[in-house]
Amino acid sequence: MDASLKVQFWGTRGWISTPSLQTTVYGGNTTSLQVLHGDLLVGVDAGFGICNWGEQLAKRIVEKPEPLEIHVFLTRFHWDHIQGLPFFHPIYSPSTRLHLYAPYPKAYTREKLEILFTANYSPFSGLDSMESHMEIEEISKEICIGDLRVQVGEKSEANGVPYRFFAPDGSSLVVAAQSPSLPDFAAGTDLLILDAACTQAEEKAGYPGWGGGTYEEALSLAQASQAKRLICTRHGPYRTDKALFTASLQAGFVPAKEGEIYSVTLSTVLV
Amino acid sequence: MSMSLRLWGVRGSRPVHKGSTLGCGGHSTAFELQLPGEDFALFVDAGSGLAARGPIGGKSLRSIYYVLLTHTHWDHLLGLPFFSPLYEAKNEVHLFSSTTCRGDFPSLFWALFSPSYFPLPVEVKAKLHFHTLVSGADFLLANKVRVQTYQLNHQGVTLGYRFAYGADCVGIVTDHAPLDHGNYLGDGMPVGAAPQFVAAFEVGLVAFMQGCHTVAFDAHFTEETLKLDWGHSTPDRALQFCLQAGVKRLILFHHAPEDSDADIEQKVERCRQQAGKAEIEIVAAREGDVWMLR
Ligand SMILES: [Zn+2]
Ligand SMILES: [Zn+2]
Repeated sequence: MDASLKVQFWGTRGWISTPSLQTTVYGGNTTSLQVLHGDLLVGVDAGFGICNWGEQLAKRIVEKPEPLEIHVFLTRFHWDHIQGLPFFHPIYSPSTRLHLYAPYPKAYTREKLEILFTANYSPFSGLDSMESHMEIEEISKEICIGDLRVQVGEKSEANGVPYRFFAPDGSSLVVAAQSPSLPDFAAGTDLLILDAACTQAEEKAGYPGWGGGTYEEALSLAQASQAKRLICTRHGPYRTDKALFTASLQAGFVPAKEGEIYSVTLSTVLV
Repeated sequence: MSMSLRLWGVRGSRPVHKGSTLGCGGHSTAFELQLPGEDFALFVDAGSGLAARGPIGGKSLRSIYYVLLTHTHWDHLLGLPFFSPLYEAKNEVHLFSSTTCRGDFPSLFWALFSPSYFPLPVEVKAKLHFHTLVSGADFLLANKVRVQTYQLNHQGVTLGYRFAYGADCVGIVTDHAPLDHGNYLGDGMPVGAAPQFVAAFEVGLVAFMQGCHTVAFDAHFTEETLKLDWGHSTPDRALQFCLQAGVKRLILFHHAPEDSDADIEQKVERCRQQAGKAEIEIVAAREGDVWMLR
């Protein structure tokens, strides 16, 4: 069993999916990622990217039919963080148990997610009409999934909630939107995954990143956190590969690539 | 005076982005009826394809926009908040949807913009007009384009559209499932077996499509993968209706997100074989394509 900690991006785009030939390098599905550790199935957020993970899991169910236990941590209820949920293949299978975590009372989280499954907007008739067992769970501070320890940061309306995942060897990664309280929560982490949509200059000029945070701010937050490595994700919706590549060279950050697996500790970086 | 059909999004269920879908495209359903020389623009459905027109903040060329929705499922709706003409005060945007018994159209629309789901720091400034349509509607848009509707077999109330402008005529029939074995999905459709209903429905749909040069038809499934209660059709069914209605071009549309470009190519190829010597052109809906309607 692989005891190391890795992360795979399934969706890297903010606001809306942008499938196109100009987004094949960095990705065009709305935001979702998987935390890889041993046999655990753990994800963060459920934008449309989660559907490609779902297709992978669906194939696995066909090859090896056994119940799936899936854990998804939600950072926010914005469309681009939840909209993939009704189309996540495993929820059509009665042997799937899907845990949805958020630091809110269950009824509140349920109410927020229910709209995705209502008959107004979907061919379904509510969350409970799906075949899998979906369990909404309220979390605070910390929770363990197997030997993976998950810390829950401070939540806010604007920035949602950050999560920090620890492997037993102490290595960790943080998934977060930019927020002033981040350096404490992410202090010394091996890998910091932050939202960032554009440069400061572009933000001033009205780039439609709409508050996704700038690369410069992401870099200074990473520095303040003494994070060993930073990856920026939730790319601006109309950002082409070329523009993103150029910006990453100029500002000096690593943009998340959809489909790519990143090791959390530098000694085992996969190139 | 001519009308052409532009495909902004051809995918069903959800937008999808991966290497194997780049050829046909991954945006969910949106069409534009291009009407050169008119002072209004006309769109059908508001899936993510509608957002592919460009970012919010762009300057729109016209000031009157019509957006007609087949129904309000996510794949046909989620691009609407990214429709840039909504954010310009100079514009009038007319939004059309079916009447549904599950909540009114304006509240369905505004829920998309609710700050807890969509914290966009810009404001909808266009003057909005909400219109609800029933099956069998027949009216003129801007005194120029004749619009007719027909309720399809799909969850809720889903409308097929027929547009006629000058000598050009096009049909958009999505989403729609076969009515086999009492599979009646639409609101108001009879529960239980009613063979007369099926016959009347099918005759009605053929009559509705008659005169259309081109029809974009729901071909989400194949006969092998068909899941009746999911509310979608197959190339075979699409072809049968088009042949009966004398349609000249069938655009297989609403591709399943799981289908690769190769899968879609195969679907088209088999449908062409099925059509044999019949005089009909069969093509796959491909993002960015523009079809003349003659
Ligand atoms: Zn659809
Ligand atoms: Zn539908």
